[in-house]
Amino acid sequence: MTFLHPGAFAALGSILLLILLSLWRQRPTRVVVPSVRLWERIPDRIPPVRAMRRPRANLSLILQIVAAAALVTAMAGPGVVRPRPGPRRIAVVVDLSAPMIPRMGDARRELAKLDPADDIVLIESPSLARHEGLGDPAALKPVERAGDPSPALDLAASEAKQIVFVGDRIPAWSPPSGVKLHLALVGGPLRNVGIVDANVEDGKLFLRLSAPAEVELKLDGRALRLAGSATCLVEIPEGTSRIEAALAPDEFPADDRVVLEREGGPVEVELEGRPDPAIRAAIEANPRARIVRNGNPRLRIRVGAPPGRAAPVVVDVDPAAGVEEWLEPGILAVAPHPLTREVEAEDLRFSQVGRLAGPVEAVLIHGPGGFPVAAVRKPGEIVLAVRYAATGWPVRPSFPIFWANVIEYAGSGAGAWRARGLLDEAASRPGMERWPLDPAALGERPVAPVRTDFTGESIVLAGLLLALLWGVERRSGDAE
Amino acid sequence: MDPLPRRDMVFDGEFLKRLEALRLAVRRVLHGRREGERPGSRRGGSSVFHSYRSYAQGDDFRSIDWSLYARLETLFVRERTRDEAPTLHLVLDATPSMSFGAPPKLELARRLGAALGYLVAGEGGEITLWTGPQSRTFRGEGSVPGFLDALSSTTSGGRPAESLSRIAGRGLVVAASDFWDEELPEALGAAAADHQVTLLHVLAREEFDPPLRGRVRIVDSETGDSGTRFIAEEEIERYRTLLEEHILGWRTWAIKHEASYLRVASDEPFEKVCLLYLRGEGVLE
Repeated sequence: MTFLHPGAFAALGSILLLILLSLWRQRPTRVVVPSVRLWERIPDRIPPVRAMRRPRANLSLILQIVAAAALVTAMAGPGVVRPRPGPRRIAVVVDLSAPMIPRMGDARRELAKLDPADDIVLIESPSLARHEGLGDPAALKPVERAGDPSPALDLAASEAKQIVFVGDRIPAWSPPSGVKLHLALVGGPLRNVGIVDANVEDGKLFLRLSAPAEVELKLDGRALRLAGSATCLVEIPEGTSRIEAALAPDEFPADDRVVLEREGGPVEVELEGRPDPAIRAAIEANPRARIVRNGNPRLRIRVGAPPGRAAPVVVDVDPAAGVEEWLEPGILAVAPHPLTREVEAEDLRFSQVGRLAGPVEAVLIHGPGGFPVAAVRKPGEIVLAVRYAATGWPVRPSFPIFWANVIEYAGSGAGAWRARGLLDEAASRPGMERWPLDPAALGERPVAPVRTDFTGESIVLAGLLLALLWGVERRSGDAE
Repeated sequence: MDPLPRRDMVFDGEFLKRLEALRLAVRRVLHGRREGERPGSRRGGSSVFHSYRSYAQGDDFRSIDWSLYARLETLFVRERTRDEAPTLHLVLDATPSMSFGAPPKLELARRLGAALGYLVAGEGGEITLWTGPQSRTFRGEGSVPGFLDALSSTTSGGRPAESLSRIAGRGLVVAASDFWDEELPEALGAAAADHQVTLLHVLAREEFDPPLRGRVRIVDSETGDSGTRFIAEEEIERYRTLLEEHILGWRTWAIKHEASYLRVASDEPFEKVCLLYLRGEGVLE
């Protein structure tokens, strides 16, 4: 038995006060009588024990004393301390990298073996997210990338001496001295074929698969199917900016799809023909563009000039040829195209528009009657049969927007290729060991003194005794 | 004890009519100061022969018994008794012990004294109200209001023994008391030698059945003496026995001294006590 406030027992002195009060209450009653003559002739005697006890008064005193003792005990905060097995401090590292996607069911079963009564800290790898307790295992979601669990295990070693690693492979990590690592491997054979390497060099796409399989390719949206092979080498057209390679879905889908995109690089621009300060100002204002002279530019802008030197992307403004006739602008319409993104028709304030001759690949602006005024004749060849004043289209917001679209169009496919969704080779290993967790191996539970508090019970007991005392006193009062 | 309102002392007409039909029983020859209807010890002009004595100078010739002179040749005078009115000495115990009871013992004592005094005054007698060493005398029927006022204002006084030692002459002595005073038997004995004594023993109901139980510190209302004792049913029974002996002792004393004795409880109806008990005990006739 322990007491949080042993000093409270000083209040037991109140019991002495109760006894004194009780004795005072039991003093002889003083009664004045006409004469004591007769009483003096009656010999006094020692009262019989039965009469002396005065059971009601004594019961009241006993109840008072017990109630006071219960209150004092409650003030002292009584409790019993018993040694009991305490919780074990365990750090659990769960590998949530992509290879765990098909293994999360097993991982959750392993986590369920842990005793929630233990003091558990759960650390996610590779995100290093930390949770006190096991939480809801269903909320654990793997990420679509591979990750090294070592940082999470380092964090776990700083948290506990017992570490449980739930993953699909033995981590390349050694526990520090005094720390024990328990492996709960949820591996097992998988039916998996994955893309383990993808790259574009010298205009050719190289794919390596973990096993021969058919590959579906999409080159800027154009589909292409490759025959089953462990490696593929495919020539890609000039200007291709996006390649998507996909395998048939299997048990491990994370390595079944790879997207390669060519990042946009800086665009060199050369201006030819009639000087147009508005176009120059719009090009110079774009951070991706750089105006060059007599070079090998990515973009060539000709204003009112006949066709000349070639470039990957050429824009002819007010072309000297290829226009059937020049007309009043009338009502114009903007066709949806990456080059006309966010370009408003009302901003197109031209003095004249030309009817383009010959076939075009995509119309950008329709003139009155629907004839093409601006169009992409073929990939990399843009024609704008328009004439405008300096206070017309150039002062409208659509003017710099259009030229920014042109820079972006010219810049797409200009940079290096980058692959997304490509896992490292180890992630798609076809099979691994399965080491179920043995909770008994997590060590003995530390025996710690656990205190059971009885303050509430003491207060309740004191309350009951006081209620009983009240009843006894009331009954006693009624009897008198 | 509060003074008794006079209206409580004045009896209603019906009661007075019944009371006036009675009178104080006198068993001894009176020696009063006032003439009345009762034969006294003094010589007087009544028709009742008392004795002969030798003639002395100045005696009334009409009282000489000439026939006796013819036979004896000596002059003798025929003496007659004198009718006298009774003299009442009302000894009222107004000590603290008389304030007990509901109603207090003193209240019944005062009302009984008032009734007896009223009868004596009606005969033209003399009433002396004694409370301790102090006394007031009332004579004749006209003194009744004053007598009642004196009675009603009597709330405290000295011990009855002090009164009895001061009473002179021969008359009626009525002592209304609880008779707890240990000196009373002797004082009353002395009075009984010359007077016709009546004892009105008034006790409170709580004296018959004391409401005392347990450990009690008993304090005497007059002496202040106290003692702590344990009281249970056994002690109460013993007390009752002693009280009976105490009452019996006074009754025996009364018989021995040819006195009248009446024991009453203070809560008994006054009319019943006055018209029934006093008459039954021969105090009234």
